[in-house]
Amino acid sequence: MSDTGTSIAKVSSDETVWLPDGTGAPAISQTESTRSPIRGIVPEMRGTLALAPVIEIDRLYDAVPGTSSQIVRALELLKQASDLLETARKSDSPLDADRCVQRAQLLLPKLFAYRGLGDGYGVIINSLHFGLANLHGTPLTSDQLNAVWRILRELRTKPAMTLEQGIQRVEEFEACGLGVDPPDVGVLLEENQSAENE
Amino acid sequence: MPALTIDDFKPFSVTCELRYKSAFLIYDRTGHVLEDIRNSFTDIAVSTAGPQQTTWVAEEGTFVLEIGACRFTSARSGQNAEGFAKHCNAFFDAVTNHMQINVFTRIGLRYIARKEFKTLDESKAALASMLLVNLKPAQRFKSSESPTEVLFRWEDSQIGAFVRLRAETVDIKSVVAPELQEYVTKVDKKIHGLTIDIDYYTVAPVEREQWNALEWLPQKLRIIKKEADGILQGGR
Repeated sequence: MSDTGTSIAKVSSDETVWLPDGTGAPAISQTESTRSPIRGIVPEMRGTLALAPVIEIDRLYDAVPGTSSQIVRALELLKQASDLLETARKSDSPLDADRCVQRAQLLLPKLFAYRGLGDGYGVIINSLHFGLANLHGTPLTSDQLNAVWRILRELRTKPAMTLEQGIQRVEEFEACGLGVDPPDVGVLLEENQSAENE
Repeated sequence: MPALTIDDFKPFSVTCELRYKSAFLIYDRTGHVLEDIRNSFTDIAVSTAGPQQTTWVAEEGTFVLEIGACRFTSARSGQNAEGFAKHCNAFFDAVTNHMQINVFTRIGLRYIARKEFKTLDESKAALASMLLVNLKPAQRFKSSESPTEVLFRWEDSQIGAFVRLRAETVDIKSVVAPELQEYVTKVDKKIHGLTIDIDYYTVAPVEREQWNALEWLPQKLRIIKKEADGILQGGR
């Protein structure tokens, strides 16, 4: 793994500074490491990364004590929500399962507060909020529960999803029978459609 | 000598670099990247251009696009992590969109800062006073008695960090064309100081949907400064 490159010129030299495998950055020193032929091997080794597991999301955004990070808080809430949904999936009692889903539903407004994390994130949380609200207290079916649990888990590992990826997940909500449009928009759409039919 | 903190060091540059498998679309779409970011940066202009590497310079910093990496370097962002993250986000979004990059093989954040001293010996004394290595002072390799540079690397399967501290003298010279020497003051000075160079990076691949520059960069800059303080105070 080479250091982050520093491709802009040094203060007193035109040479790029390469620490052993480092992030490129302009350096202000003149004496640098003797270049080693190992650097030439590195690109060959990188091919293996195609099969390497991706980074753990909690390591990528590890919480720093004493600081506030939106993504860290969102990841904590998503974990709570997906844990509750997992408990609901495994529960033998429909009452207990529904109670877990309701507790997960209560986390959605807090999750929505972090919608600035990404367009995909925002559209998924927003759609799920309306999807559950539009059920008017009817418990989730097993297919719906699985879909919601799976998508929230995926969102936790990929919180920076694009809008297009978010919309794909929303379509999965709809495919399992969750109506994700806000109630008012639904009424407006119906009125518009009936006006067109007339 | 009183213990130094990272606030005693003047930021020199902050660089964020994304690495990816060869993005061959660079041959077709480098211009698209420039058009995409043109409105986000002040007076952006091409510095160097080649098939495999193009560099743009703007007031906000320097942008480099290569076949296997792209990076943004700012000399002003040492104290403004959010502004730096915003600039990186605009540039990296354009690059990943146009180059169709879905996985980063490495994300690196490199922070370089220096504390000036009157002499090189003072810089060396400051480095030695940190007691970062437990080798007894002795002349080794028939060179200087105490190390002039100390390097550390911590790495696991997910995250890595590299720290370099170096006592050094930097020559700053400007070459002025003879016909301009009447108008431009020639610069020729030496600066003695202690440089701290920290590279914080991911080891495991990162999917594009995992990484949010606006969140990751300020968080990691805070970690860099916090850890730097601990190291500068001799691991206290």
